[in-house]
Amino acid sequence: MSPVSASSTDALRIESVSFALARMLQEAGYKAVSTPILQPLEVFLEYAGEDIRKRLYSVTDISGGEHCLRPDLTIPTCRHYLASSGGANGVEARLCYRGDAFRYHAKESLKPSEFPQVGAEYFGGNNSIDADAEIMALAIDGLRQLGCKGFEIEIGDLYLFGALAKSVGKNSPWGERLHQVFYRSEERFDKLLQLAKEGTRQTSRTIPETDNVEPINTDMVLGGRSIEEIQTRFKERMERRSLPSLPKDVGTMLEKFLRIRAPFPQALKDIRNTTNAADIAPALECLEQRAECLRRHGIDINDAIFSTGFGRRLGYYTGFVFEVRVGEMQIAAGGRYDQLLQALGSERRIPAVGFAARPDRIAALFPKFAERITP
Amino acid sequence: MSLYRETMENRLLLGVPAKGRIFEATNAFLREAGVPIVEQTGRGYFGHLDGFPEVAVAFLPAGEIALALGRGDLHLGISGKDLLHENIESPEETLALIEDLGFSRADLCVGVPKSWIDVEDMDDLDDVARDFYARHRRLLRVATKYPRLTRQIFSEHGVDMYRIVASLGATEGAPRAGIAEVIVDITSTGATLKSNGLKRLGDVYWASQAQLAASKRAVWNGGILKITKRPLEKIAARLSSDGTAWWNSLNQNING
Repeated sequence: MSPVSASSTDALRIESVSFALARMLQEAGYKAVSTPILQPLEVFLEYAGEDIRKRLYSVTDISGGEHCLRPDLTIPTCRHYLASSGGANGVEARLCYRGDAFRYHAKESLKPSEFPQVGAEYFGGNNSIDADAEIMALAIDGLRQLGCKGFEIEIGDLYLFGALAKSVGKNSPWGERLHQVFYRSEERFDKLLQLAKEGTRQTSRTIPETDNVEPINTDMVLGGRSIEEIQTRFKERMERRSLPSLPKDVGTMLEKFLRIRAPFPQALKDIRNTTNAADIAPALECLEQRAECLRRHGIDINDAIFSTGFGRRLGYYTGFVFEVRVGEMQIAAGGRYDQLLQALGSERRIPAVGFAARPDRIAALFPKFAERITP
Repeated sequence: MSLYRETMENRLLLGVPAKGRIFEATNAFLREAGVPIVEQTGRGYFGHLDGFPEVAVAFLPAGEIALALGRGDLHLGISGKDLLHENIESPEETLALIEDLGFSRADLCVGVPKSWIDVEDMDDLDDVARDFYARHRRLLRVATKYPRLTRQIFSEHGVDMYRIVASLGATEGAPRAGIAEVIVDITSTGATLKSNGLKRLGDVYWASQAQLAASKRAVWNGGILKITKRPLEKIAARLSSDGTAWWNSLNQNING
């Protein structure tokens, strides 16, 4: 039971929303799986992203083994898939789940620390644009069938900035550096972009002289790094401190690009106009295809906000990301995570995309549907 | 704690550090404020403030004082800012009064091996943490007695590829012992860092000092509030602060 336990009528409503959504997913061809609540802690520490990690419930058993209560069902579902014979070979699979997840929230926040999730994961689909659209359409259709309306959809695509950074990187070492930091805190990225625009040459007087650095030797505490590893990075860091600035128009272009946030068709135009000097035709082509593909799957893209900076800090996502909100409250979210399965131990790269919805929030915001089935 | 709860109905309960440098400093401070602690003979865990028999003093470890304030098992307590923030989830909401006392100053800092000549600030640590994971397939380990503050500081700087290793003491020795790569600890001089082959990252300043705090969760009644006024004014006067303002703020906050 969650700390603020729902009344039995509320609990029934949540249950019926969750059950109905899971059923829709199964009818759409997603096979239901059930995963353990108790998960290995290490896996979540590594892949869950800071926002989830700080909310983990962890437990140590008497043999010293460290576990946590699953903070979401995506990673457990990935692990379930990888343990299956198909998963070991990267065979295409559509799985769905429903169950409780656990994330600590302070009492004052009024958010439950135990909450239900229903979701779907599509592993091994080779046409990623189509798979992305299938998952998003599954989420949106499901929500509509549950009686949700008036929600706001936000879409992002992390691949796009990657392409832009690569194009910038052809003429300036800042491209790669900015790409590395794109997924880090926004403050840090902004600071770096500012530095890139100004160039670091003029600040060279603050660089410590290499000669002043004490040579490293094996008697020192090395903290698990090799001397060579430290020296290599030290040199890179020194070099970075005397980089010529990014061409002025490129810096401005990047800033302008990252401010784009508009209905998808408008955003497409804005992105084209802003980046026309950069060589990212294939990425723009993909984005056009994405818009078309979403349309084909019955999603009104005029209704969806595309945001170039969306999804930067969302943990393991690598490409397409989306979120469905009512006001400030997220009722469903998902995206593509092409590196996670490999990180979790798969020998091959297995593309993956999925979403999760919050039946408790849906039941509270749109009670009509639940009332129909639970008088 | 039931003993305390009973005491708290009709006496003001003040928690004071039981040992260590902060104990000495607190004793001296209260003496200078004109309210020295009078230890009760035969009962080493309790005392009272001289001239105020209705102000009971409980001697507790400084960390325990923070926890007790968080639960409401003390009206007032003197502890380190670091401990108040580490042991109480949201001190600004739980505590009704937080005043700096100006002694037991120390900084919470991030220490990395001195050999890491490529690491000067948290941005560097962020890069190294990712690089470390990519190379060695394990997370950088951070030894600390302050997991909550560490998470807060690291998250503010966007560092997330690390794991915390709980440390019970002698944290500075963890990297040399090979049980962690990085430490987060309180240091007043930095000498212990140096002697353990570590250096301090330049951009983390989390300054701690002794603080006087009141718990919103404690039992406050009119009588207790009245008892609080005079000693609070004396303590404030020692710091050339306005004791009436402290007391008014306490009055407002315990009902807020």
